[in-house]
Amino acid sequence: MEKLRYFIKEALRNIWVNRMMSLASISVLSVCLLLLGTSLLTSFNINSIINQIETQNQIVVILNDNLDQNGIADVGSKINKLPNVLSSVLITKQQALDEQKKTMGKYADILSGYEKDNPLPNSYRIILKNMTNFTQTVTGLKKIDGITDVKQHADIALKLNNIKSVINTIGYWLFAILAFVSLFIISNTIKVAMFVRKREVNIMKFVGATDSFIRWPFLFEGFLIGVISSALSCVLLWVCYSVLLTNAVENSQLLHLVDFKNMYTFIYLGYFGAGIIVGTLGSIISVRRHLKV
Amino acid sequence: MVHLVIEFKDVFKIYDNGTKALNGINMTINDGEFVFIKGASGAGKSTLIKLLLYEDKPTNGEILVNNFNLGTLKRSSVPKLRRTMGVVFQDFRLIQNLNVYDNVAFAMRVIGAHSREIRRRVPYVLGLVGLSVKAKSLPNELSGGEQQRTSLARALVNNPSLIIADEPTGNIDPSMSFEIMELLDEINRRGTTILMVTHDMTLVKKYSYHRVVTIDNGIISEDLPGSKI
Repeated sequence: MEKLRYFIKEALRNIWVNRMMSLASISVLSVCLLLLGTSLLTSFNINSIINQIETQNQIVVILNDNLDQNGIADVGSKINKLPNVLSSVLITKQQALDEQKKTMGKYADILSGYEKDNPLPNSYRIILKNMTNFTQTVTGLKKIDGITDVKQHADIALKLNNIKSVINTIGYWLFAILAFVSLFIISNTIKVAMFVRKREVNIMKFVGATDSFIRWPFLFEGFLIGVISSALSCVLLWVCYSVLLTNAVENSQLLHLVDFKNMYTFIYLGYFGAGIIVGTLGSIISVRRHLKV
Repeated sequence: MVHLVIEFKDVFKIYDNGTKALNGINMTINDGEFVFIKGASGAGKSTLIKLLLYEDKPTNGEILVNNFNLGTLKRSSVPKLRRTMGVVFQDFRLIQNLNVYDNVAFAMRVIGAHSREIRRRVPYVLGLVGLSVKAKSLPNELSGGEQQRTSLARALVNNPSLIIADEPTGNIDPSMSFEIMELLDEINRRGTTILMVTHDMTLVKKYSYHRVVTIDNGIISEDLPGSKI
């Protein structure tokens, strides 16, 4: 315990003695984590929007006119048995005509002649579980007897998936680049701390301090820089996102941002995890490269 | 039975640039001895100290210090070796933002000594070097002699069996030099082996009852046993 107290005390002293460099390090790491958080939040929100669109995205299958009630029900049960189908709703010829009339509004009378000889087919509107297996699902639907056509929006589905992958890829790359930048800055801060304490390290060596005893305060310094930066970023991100939620969302019917409460555990854990890993790793790199004990 | 503290067996040191710093040093120092090492600049004195402190390794030969064979010493055992000796440098090497007490206590803290032991030992050692009243002073508030006495207290605080003093009087006034020398002499009388590298011939002459080893071009050119022995 006494040793641990000594290491933490020395690490804090390092941060204080070398405060300008530590401040720069904490600032840059906080900004990096903030950018990372912003990217994650953006990704969450776009994913949420895509999910909303996906759930609204339907496949419509057109049924053969010759099918009787049992035949239609049989097709419905075959559709529901497909693994990627979340739900299906039957739209009868009459319902289809009514919907069409509703769409045409005041021109609905044009369709009044079709009441007796309705040309619209019976159909099923299908909602898929996820869009990844879209093509396989369409192929499966086409194989069902009694389905004459599958009206699908393959392009939209593919585009949505592409957007999702691009966002994820950008997120991962951004994280990698920012983590690298932070590592570089922290390892330089620790390097400066080691330079400032060169004399102490030299004395420690000659009085018989072990390698680990000399290294630990510097490792704790990186760790503490990571923790401080993470805490700072958590607060800043929460404040900024709350301001955005109250101002942007209340004034817009279109924007439905994800509530921060639904993400904070993930974001905070990520922040502290990333901050501590980057901080400690930055120290390790510097200590291994520059601390000759 | 005489116990060997330091033994050099046919030690050579040739640096990568081809400089031959030591050309076959053979020397033994016994427990309780006070040995002056003198020689001109570039004679090999600093290399000798570096090898003793395990800062560098010999090109050839064997070195034994306090029962540690430096040729076969594991990296993990280096701190154990260094805890058996105290080092005093010409430039004092004090930590400027720590006061006298903390500079001395620092040497105990970094080897994991308990606070209680530090509180007991540091005042005792400061008393031994006559710095009790300066315990709260910062190094820049001390004279050269006082700074070197602090450095000596730091070397002594972990109770080493050997003190290596590298030109300890090189940066202080002649009057203060005798003060430091008296302290080293007193420490030696209490049983600690002292190896002191110096240029100061006045000191060597005044304390000529100690053994004097002269190094010249990497070899021992003269080894005068002290009258004390």
